[in-house]
Amino acid sequence: MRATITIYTTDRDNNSCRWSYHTAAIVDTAGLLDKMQIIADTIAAISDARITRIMYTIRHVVRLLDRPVAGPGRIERSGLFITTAANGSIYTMIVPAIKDTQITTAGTLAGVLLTDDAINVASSLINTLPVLNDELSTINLPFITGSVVS
Amino acid sequence: MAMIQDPWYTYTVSFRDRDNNTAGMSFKIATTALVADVTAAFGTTLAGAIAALSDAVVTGWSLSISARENALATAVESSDVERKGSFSFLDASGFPVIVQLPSIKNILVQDGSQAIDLTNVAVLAFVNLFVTGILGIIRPVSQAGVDVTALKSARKVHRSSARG
Repeated sequence: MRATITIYTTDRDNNSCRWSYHTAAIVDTAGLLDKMQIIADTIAAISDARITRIMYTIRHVVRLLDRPVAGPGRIERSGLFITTAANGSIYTMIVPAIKDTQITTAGTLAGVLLTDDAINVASSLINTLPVLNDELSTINLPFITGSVVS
Repeated sequence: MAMIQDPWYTYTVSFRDRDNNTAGMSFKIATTALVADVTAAFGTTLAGAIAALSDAVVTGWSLSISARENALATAVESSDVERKGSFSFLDASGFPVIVQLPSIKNILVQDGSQAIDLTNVAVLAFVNLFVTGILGIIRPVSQAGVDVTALKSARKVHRSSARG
């Protein structure tokens, strides 16, 4: 795994600039905020621009040799899953290249629906992690419905 | 001025289909989750669940943790992101790593040249950020994943921004 540190800056004329560099990834992020502050202070000492944000991104790329061959579906046809959040807002998740086997043969005015199995799998996918609808509101599972979108 | 961490992580899964078109799927995750658990989740659960739903192959995932400045001051008059401090580093294999710092302070550029004053304490601290890392943990590396170990050169350059 690799990580990238991205620094967002703006100048007096509101021109913005984003630049980044690679680091070795760390999984234990204890003290990460302190380190971000050190980075910000070190840069601010030699730059006139304002640092507005620092982002630390852990990246995992699946090796080409380990990747399976893509199925017949295309990413332009996706599965749209819908549920609500604790604050009452709508939460949607789009899965690219939804499988043919997860599409029901019946259509409705709302569109082509996905199978109950697809809804269950999508729910378990999200249920693995504490997913938020926005900055604070948790989402309700399982998904209410799933349909095909292009 | 202080950096305040956002109360969420952004988790993004990248896909590629049979026509080599790419797409991504992102969601926010509460920071109450341990990063180690989130990174482990892909192999244990997410990969299988995604494979059951999608014909596209997963090419990778990323997890972003961000912090924002909570008391943004007005930038000084001399600030221009088009004026860069271009630092050319080398990794342990001799592979170049170039970093361009926006709006390098004019006072750090030696008069009569484009060279950046490498004896300045603040510049030295920035260089050390790359060649030694922060507390040996956030260690800059090259594209090849090799530790950055030396500074080759540093000079002022100009790059146009999107607006001028």
